[in-house]
Amino acid sequence: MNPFLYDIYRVLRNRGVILLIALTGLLALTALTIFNAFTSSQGLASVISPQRTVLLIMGLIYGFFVPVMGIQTGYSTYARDRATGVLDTVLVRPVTRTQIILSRYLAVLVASALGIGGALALLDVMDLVEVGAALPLGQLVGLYIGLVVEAVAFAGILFLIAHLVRSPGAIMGSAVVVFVLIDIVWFFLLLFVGVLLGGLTSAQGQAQVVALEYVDPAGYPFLMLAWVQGGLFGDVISPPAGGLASIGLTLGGLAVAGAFWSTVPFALSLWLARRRD
Amino acid sequence: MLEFSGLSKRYPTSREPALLGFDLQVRDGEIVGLVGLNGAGKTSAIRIAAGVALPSDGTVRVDGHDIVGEKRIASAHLGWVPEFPNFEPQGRALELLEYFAGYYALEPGKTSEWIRFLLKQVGLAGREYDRVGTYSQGMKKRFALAASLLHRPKNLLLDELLNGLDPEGIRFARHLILSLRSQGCAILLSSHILTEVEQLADRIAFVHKGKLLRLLPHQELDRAPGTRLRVQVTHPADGALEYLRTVGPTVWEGRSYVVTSPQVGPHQVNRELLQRGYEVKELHTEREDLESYFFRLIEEAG
Repeated sequence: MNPFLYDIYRVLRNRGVILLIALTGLLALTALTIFNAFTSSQGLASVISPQRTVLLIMGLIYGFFVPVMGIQTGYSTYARDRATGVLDTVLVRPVTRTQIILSRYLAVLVASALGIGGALALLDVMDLVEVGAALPLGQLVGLYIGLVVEAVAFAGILFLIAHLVRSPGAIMGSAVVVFVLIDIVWFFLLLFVGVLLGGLTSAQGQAQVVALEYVDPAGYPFLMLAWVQGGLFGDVISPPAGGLASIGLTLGGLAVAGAFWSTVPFALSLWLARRRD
Repeated sequence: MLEFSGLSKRYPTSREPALLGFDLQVRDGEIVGLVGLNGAGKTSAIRIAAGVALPSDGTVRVDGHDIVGEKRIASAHLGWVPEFPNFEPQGRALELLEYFAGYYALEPGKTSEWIRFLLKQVGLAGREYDRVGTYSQGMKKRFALAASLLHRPKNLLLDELLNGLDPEGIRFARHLILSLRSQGCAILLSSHILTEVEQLADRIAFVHKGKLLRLLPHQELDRAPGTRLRVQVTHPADGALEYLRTVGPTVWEGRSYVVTSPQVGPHQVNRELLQRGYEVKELHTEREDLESYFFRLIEEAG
């Protein structure tokens, strides 16, 4: 059996990935039903694009669940194995530390890409059934890339934590702190800062939101979606008059942030893995 | 062959080094027993040799290959049974061994057959599809043994292999170790069961506070200080006592003479007494057992 394929299989049978796909169907159906009923009753169906808004809402929901999945897969694929000694039974084979950690990280990447792809495909099917039209492909792809980067960033953070603390309990405890800080506290912080700086409708407020989201892996899908949709909040708030570049949202910025979050936490864990037990 | 050279290991949480300048060679076709108190450094030495821990200083070579610098080649010649084997609990025995086999260049098509054979050999026939997490500690040890033999390694590191095994398992492991030695394997066996080490090992390495205190060939145990010769002659007499005192400090213990740390072997004593006209009724060596020897060494080392 190819060890890398087995690593992918292990991630895919993980509860986090399965849960994400299962939740998608339920949440997408609920969101679409509520949204359709609301826009029809208010006569807003022609003003607000259902697809754009559904993607925005689901993007926010995924933005919350995908870090949980990233943490769960990072923990069960590498961090727990390292803390419990399971990794030693693999490390004794003709394989280097670099190869093991790389194989497991790539397995998380492949499994996350498949899981998120499955979840978004399910969302698209739900949308097709409920609204009667498929989701815009470009926006779907933008959200997909954003979510995959977010998933591997959180998995990479878990890989890194596994080299800083020893026990499974300490690893999970640290992961919960990281999740609460950068996925929940950070979200409210940026809303607060945005409102403080003239509100989320102002260019200054939106520029602050973008800046804060760049330094938060949980904000990456939101930025990707904003870029493909041409505005930060879909049809709910008008896009800035000076274009997205005026609030700091550029393709170059997204590429740098995406590359940073998908490689730096992992690269640090790789560096530690080669130097410490 | 396993070669430990100037091996040191310091853990960030401990002030004292776990290993300090540890040197040892385990030759092909030889069993070396590694004995020491808890925390002496046995497991650290074995974990570094297995490639799962990094040395602070020094090297371990497996058939001439550095376990750190040439990890892949060195590990291909090595098998390891950890003291507390911890495999992926959700993995099934057959599935996990096939996964491990993926790291070795095993002949495709025959791997599954070989794995089933190994599992049968270690007494896990019928449990191939069970999750390893449901195994008892003894079964995990048996599974670890199968996992370590997957690629027919020429060097084996057995860390407390016998601990946790039932009597049948201990007997099986003992026969297996001896059979592997006869096939030319270099085996490093760490154990707290000193009688087993005494029975199996060709040489015994005594480790204390991270250092190799003594490396004792098995036959030297017979000549170790503290060995006593008990001699019973038909008609005890001063002449016999006089002679025995030349062999070593001798006392009369009611029915027999006891010579401590004799300078010559029992055959020579027997011959000499016969020549002097004494009929020897009983003559045997009371060797200091490994446990006493071990504690005496530790005491001397402070």
